[in-house]
Amino acid sequence: MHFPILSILILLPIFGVLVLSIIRGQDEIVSRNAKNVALLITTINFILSLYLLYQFEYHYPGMQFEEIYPWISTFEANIHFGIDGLSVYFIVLTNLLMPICIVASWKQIKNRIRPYLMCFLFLQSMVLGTFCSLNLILFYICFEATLIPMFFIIGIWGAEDRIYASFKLFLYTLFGSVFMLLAILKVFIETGETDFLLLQNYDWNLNLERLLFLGFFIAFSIKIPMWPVHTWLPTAHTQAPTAGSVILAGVLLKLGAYGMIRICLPLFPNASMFFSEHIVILSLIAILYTSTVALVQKDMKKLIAYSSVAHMWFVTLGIFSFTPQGLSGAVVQMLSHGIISAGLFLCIGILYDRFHTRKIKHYGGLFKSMPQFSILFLTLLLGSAGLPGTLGFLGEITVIIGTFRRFPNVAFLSAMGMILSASYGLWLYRRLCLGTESEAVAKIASSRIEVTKSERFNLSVLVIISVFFGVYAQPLFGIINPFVKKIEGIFKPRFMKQFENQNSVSIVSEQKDVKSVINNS
Amino acid sequence: MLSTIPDFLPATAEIFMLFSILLLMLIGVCKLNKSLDILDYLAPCLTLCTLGVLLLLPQNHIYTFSGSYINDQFAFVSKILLLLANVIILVLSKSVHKYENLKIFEIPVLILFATLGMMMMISSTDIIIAFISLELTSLSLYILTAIDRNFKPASEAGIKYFIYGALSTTFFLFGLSFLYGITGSTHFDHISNDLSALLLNKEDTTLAIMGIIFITVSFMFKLGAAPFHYWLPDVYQGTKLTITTLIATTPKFAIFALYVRFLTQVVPDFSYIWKPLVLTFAILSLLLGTLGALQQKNIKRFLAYSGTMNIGFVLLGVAQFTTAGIAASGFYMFMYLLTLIGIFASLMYMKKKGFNIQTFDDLKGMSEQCPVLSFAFCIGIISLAGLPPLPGFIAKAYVLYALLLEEHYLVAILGVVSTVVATAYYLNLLKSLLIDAVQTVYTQAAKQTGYTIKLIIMSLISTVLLIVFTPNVWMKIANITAIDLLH
Repeated sequence: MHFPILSILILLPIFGVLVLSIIRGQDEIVSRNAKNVALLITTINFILSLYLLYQFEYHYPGMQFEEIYPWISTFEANIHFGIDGLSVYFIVLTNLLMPICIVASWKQIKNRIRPYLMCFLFLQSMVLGTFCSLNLILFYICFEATLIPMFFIIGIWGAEDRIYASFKLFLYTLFGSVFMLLAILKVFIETGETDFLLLQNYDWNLNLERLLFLGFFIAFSIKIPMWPVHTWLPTAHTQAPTAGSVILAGVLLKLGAYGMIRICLPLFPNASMFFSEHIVILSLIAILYTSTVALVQKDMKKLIAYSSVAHMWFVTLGIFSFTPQGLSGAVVQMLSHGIISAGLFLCIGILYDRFHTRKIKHYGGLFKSMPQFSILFLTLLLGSAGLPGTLGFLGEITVIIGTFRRFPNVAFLSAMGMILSASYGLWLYRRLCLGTESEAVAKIASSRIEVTKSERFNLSVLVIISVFFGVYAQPLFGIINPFVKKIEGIFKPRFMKQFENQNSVSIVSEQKDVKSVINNS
Repeated sequence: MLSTIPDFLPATAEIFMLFSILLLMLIGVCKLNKSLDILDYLAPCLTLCTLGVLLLLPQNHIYTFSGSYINDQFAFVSKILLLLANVIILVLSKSVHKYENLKIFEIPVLILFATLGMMMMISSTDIIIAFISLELTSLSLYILTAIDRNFKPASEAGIKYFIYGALSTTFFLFGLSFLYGITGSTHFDHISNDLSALLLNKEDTTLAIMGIIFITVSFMFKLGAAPFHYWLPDVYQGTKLTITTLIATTPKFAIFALYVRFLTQVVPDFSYIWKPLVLTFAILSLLLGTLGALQQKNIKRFLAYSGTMNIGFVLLGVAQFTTAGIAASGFYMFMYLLTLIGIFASLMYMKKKGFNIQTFDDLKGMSEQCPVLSFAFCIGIISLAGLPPLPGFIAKAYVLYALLLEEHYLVAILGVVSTVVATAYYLNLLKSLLIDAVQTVYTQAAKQTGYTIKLIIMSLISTVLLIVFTPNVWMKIANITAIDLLH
């Protein structure tokens, strides 16, 4: 048996929780040691995940690093880990953001630092478990277990309205995912299996498949979060501490979209096709609506939160366009959103630490006193607006190209979303960083206002990643491609069948035209 | 078959228990000064010895007293669980009742009497023995409820418990008299055979159905299922913490065991009657328990309502009348017992430390005072709420699985939605414990070490965490027991 690197990745943070729980001593020493231990553990995890990336076979389409241990035999639920091109980057992303979160809360969190770090380590373990698991029950357990630490992170260390926000987060998400539990149990009763890989070619009864798809889809879409139940996200983001927002936007929202790609598409292909048009329309509404709402926000964290919702719906747009470009674009968009919105929340956190307000009107002219910050912030905002040369552009443009092949009108309208995101982003930047210095900014001496070393380091890492992959995207698409080909292999015959049934040669020829247009451009 | 001297072997554990109780009573009466201390130590030890006797019994040999007493797999597993739980409760009450002004030697004796009653209840296959054991348990519990004479709410709770209990006993007897009237026998097997003959010959079954309904209602009273749950919150609130722990946990388990045995071995042919009946009570319990608990501020009342809700889940499993359903409800009951004792033990520890925890607000700031304990409390609550990754979730999923197997989709959806609502109030409790800032500044806590309670809490919590990693073992036990019971 090979080296069980996935189990080690998942268990190391749990080990960290245990170590943290036995630290003894005076409060100051405990908090210092706790921070060091947590940083050490997360850094080791990050290095391990880089090693994982190094060992990863790029062209192999199946699962790699598989591990399987027996667990609940009543549900055939084995602890089955394995990764492929879809999940490997998410593991790296999670492990990258965790040390950044811990560094970001180094000075910010003053009380009860030890349970705070324990929550984060537990969260990391569960998120990695979700990305690695190849079993529905295990997936569900890890998916749900992320809620408990998040509840505490927002509830204990959040801002003034934190209790409302944490309850809303927990109950909305739980409400969605209990239906997923029922769907999973029904899948098990029908097939006698809960393993992703074994379930992929099951021939479902059409109505049942649609119901099961809906069960899963409700859970995932509330997590993404779906319009009109998206309201938990802005409140959660505004009330969470900086690191909580970073991890929420960077990783937790991805769980929903990841679940759609991992479970909904391969397990229920016919139902996915059946519902795809509805979902695409829903995504379009969500993109335009949330972008418009983001324009009028007075609270900058809320603005970023709404923009984050809008960007996540580009992902579903890409997924349910069922084109290879759309799917790989969706994955890249998820990664880019993970990097960029995490960076934006870090920026907001830096501002909040200095001025203790999230209202945009209290800011102005930051460029004068915080030039370094302003440049990093601008790069991230432009990335979020989809400026060519950043990761954000890459994701959105691929999604739009992919969508264009099936829904040209939708693609056109969703491109409006990009324009809106540029407008609220740049407007935010103008109000925050340009113009005359506001009272609150002028009050604090400029020597104390500029970003500290650790903050600069955090932001720079994210900015560099965003720009690097924005320019050189081959490694991203290269890893995702085998997976995308596999999914395409599931859907292509079905589409051909559909076209044959409709006897509409025109669509096929139209598609060819579009393809040639894209190839020429 | 009928010999003059019955074979006592299958009932040895109960007989041993009876003699230990007599011994304890003797000690209690004779040595007045130190009797309490001796009893406190002797009672859990003797219960453990009973457990040992039970484990040593040969398994091939299960009927006695001309077939009216049984010690099969179901009884065996249930009794082990029951005795272990009662040992824990005895140890807890030993270390706490000194601080509750309860220096009365009858407490351990009565708890043992209740235990004896519960053991007999689990083993009975005769309506007379079932009735006697039910009464033995109930009477001991009535006395225990009101044992603190100087505490007015306790007397109130005792009266309420007694009246409701007596009412439910009447229902029970009334139902039993129907069954006896039809069949002319008190033995479970005979009644079962006669009733199926009744069905086979297509005779009038109205009386039998009436009997089943009355008996079910009486059991619902005892289990605290809605709509017969109104006595629960008052009784919980009025009693002392140790007694509440007892009332809330093991008797419910024993009554559940008796009820399951009654349903599956006496009236299995009438399942077309009792399945919808039990399902209705289960759904009502889910709804009323959940909605009732939402508004509670007192922890004991809250736990009472949440108990109703959990019993609803247990009954959902029972109402399926399948192996999976019975096994699921048994496993759920086990998890419920484990976490509930853990939660009560944490409350007792806080009590011992000098914090009188009555309402949610009293919990504020506890996480700073005793962090380890609040962690344990947290684990208990999260597991009780059935949130992953703790084993409460596995139990809940098992019940839902049993429901879906029988294609009760709407009920399953109702169950999960009520779980979501229930989670809201469990989170409320966690909020008071961990999130809310300290409001009252406590005076210096009493310097009680409380290592016993700590040890118990830690072992309970580690069992809970152990089940996460070895769910197979426990679920297999539940499954085998259910198969044994049904076939």
